[in-house]
Amino acid sequence: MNPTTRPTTQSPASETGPEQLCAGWYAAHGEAVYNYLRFQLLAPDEAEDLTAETFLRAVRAAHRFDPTRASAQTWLLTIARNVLIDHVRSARARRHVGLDELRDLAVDAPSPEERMLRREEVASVLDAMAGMSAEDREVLSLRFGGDLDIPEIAELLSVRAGTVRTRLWRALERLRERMK
Amino acid sequence: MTGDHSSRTGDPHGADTERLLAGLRFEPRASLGPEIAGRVRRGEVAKGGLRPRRPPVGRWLAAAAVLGVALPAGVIFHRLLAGPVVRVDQCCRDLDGGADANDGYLVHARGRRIERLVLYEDLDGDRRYSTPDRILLARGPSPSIVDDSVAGSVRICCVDLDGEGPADDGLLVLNSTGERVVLAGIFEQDVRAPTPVLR
Repeated sequence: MNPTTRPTTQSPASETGPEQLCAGWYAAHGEAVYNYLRFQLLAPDEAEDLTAETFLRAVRAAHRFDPTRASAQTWLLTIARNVLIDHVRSARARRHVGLDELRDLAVDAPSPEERMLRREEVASVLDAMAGMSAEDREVLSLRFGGDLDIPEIAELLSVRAGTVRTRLWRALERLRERMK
Repeated sequence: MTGDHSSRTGDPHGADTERLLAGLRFEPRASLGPEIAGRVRRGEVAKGGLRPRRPPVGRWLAAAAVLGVALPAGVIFHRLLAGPVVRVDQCCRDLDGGADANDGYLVHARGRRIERLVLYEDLDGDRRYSTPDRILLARGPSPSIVDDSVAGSVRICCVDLDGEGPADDGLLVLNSTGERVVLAGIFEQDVRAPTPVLR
């Protein structure tokens, strides 16, 4: 999603019903939240459950959302991050990504062979990411899954933009090493 | 961005990895959005993460009766309704006004209620609260001032200390000379309340 086209504010719960509020947030940011979670989870079902939990929590805490302090996307990804932390605390042992678990992958390759290659490539990326540190996974997922830019990631993590750049660069280096 | 790093280092593999990630997109099933909206319409609330679920009230009451536990029913209901205890342990910062960033804080919250707040000096360097650490302040649900000679304050914001979801909680610490903590409280950034209430 192009950051310049993102809606920056949403009506507070007092002005619209919670269902409309949730639907509006999901329409604008659902894919970013889902992808942020999906980059760090091995199965679509888990990402769906946690996406739903994120939006339910967001509705519950809607009165606390202040668009002058953060964009709706950054706020929702902050909640998704906390949902994920809770989930990881109770997560089962790590396993490998099966190709059948990539049914939600968006592939525009024309031939079946190319689609299969793409799936294998993505499976190897997710496998490599699953073995990385939580900090590496998080910064990669916020940037590429959550579609946030460097200043937005810095705001979400409460660190300086330079720190984010360094973490991102090192995470990409480590990911590349793992994929060799 | 990171592409700059790749091109700067002349590393085609790094750029490939970044391109691969940038082109990676998953599509949630089309029915997920309406399904979530429907859950909101039905009044379903967030579970507060995937913490262990609370056992049914009936089972609690039956167990209490069988075991002869004479806890007042009001206490049981209060605890069940308040939800599970969220424990947050953060280290290390300078909270006592000393020279070193070697202090941490431990929060036990149940819903919006702060049940326990401990400020400690991380003497054994394990970056968490443990037995050898020196307790700077320990309090229950209500903040209270233990000394009136305030030398400085530390304000930390914003993190999720009560497990409610958004990172909108903060810690306020007042310290005095001699690396002593005289008051510590948790507050919540609420756009409706111009002055945060200390808990």
